[in-house]
Amino acid sequence: MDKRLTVDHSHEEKPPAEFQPYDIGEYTLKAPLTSNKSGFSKWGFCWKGDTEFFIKEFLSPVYPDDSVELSAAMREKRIDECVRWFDSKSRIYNTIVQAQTGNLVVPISFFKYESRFYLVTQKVSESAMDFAVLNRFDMAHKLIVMKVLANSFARLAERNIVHADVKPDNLLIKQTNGGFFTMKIIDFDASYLADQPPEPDEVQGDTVYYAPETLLYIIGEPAHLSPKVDVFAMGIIFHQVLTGKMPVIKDEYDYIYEAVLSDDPPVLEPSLPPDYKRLLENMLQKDPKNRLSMQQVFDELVRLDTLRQAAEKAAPPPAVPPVQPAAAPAQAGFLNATDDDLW
Amino acid sequence: MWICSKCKRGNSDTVSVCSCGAQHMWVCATCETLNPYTVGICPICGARKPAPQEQQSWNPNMAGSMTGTQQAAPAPQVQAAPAPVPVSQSAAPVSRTAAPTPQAMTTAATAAPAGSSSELSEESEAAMRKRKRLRMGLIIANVALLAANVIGIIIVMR
Repeated sequence: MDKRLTVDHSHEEKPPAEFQPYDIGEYTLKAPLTSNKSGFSKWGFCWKGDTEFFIKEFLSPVYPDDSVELSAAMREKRIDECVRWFDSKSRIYNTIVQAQTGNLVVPISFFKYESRFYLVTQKVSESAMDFAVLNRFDMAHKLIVMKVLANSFARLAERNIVHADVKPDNLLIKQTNGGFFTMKIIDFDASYLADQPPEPDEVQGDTVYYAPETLLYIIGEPAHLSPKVDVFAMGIIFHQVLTGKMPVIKDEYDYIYEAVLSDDPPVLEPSLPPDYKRLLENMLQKDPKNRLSMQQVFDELVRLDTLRQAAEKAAPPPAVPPVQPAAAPAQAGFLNATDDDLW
Repeated sequence: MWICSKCKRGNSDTVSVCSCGAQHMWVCATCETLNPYTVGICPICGARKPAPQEQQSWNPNMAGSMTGTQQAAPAPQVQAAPAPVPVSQSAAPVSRTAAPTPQAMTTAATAAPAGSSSELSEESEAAMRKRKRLRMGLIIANVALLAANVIGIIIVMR
């Protein structure tokens, strides 16, 4: 839902000339909020002192202030709904903050102002995961990207948090020191604690990355939602990171979870090395009990990276170093790695 | 809250250095992962922990984007983990029963540790207590009324 991807500045809305900055609590809004590409919220950037933040205004629920004419009973009911929603969100946000790994874009402030609720996070200026770009990374860098993701989701799982909306738009890629890349995970709007899942009709997320049990839960079948929901989605994402493509399903299915529920699992890219293929298969298991945990995924990635490094040491050094210094343009460096460098 | 491995003192999540001087976490400059200070090599990317003199405070908004929009800025060597970011806090909490005031609900997403109730929860509890008291008062009044009725009936029957 969050679309705070500010790399392509040409698409950003320009503030109209007549816009007057105003305060939302401790934050000053200097440009209007936009609902561009967002579902149940408006978003924008605000300032506190010299620092710019990302701010999101939730369109629902709306707190019934004095100006709204309501019966006492209705007012009480609406306030109760707001209180329950606010308490539930606060619990999740507080838990996410405690799971911080350095790569989670965590909430900074969550508050009510007048009749609306707001969430403030750090402003991020990275772009969404682009598999065309990622596919040009060499294997060492792909593994860093995957390990960063696995580690972050493992820390969330440790605290029983289900992100529940894992998709490329919510995984931002960021260039760091020395020309390396890392990932930032955003948008915890759909998140919940595994022991307190939302009502079936309130489950959010992207159907492309749904786990089989998510659909079962939504249609009222017996199903337990756990952090393994994120593992399934990451299985699809990792396949895209490694191959640039989605796993292949038969035409009769629209989504991967449908194929898996029909005991007709997706076909993984044949050129994947066996170890990676096995890892992905274990992440895309139908039964969450048979699916790897995110910690197991991380451990396996560490093992694969160790093997890769050992093989690299044994092999003669490459003629051209794959990584260029950060000062070079973004298009340079290992982004130009040839297909031979990929494995 | 984190416990200093050196002096065993508890520290707030918003500080990364204990008052005894021990560092809690460090941030890897390559992959920006937070690592315990006792870990010398980042388990994610294999980068070494920089020497103390190279340590800087962590700025999560720092340089670097795919399009190079911020690449002119020197890429910082990050250190001294921020632990969760400090949180803004303002305004009085809201009560369910009292007249709702603007700016009422505010939570400190990072400040409140797990299990601690937010301002709103405290308010909710206060409101619940008030409701319980009202309900109890109503029950007592009903019982008294019932007793008066019984006494009245007895008097009339006599």
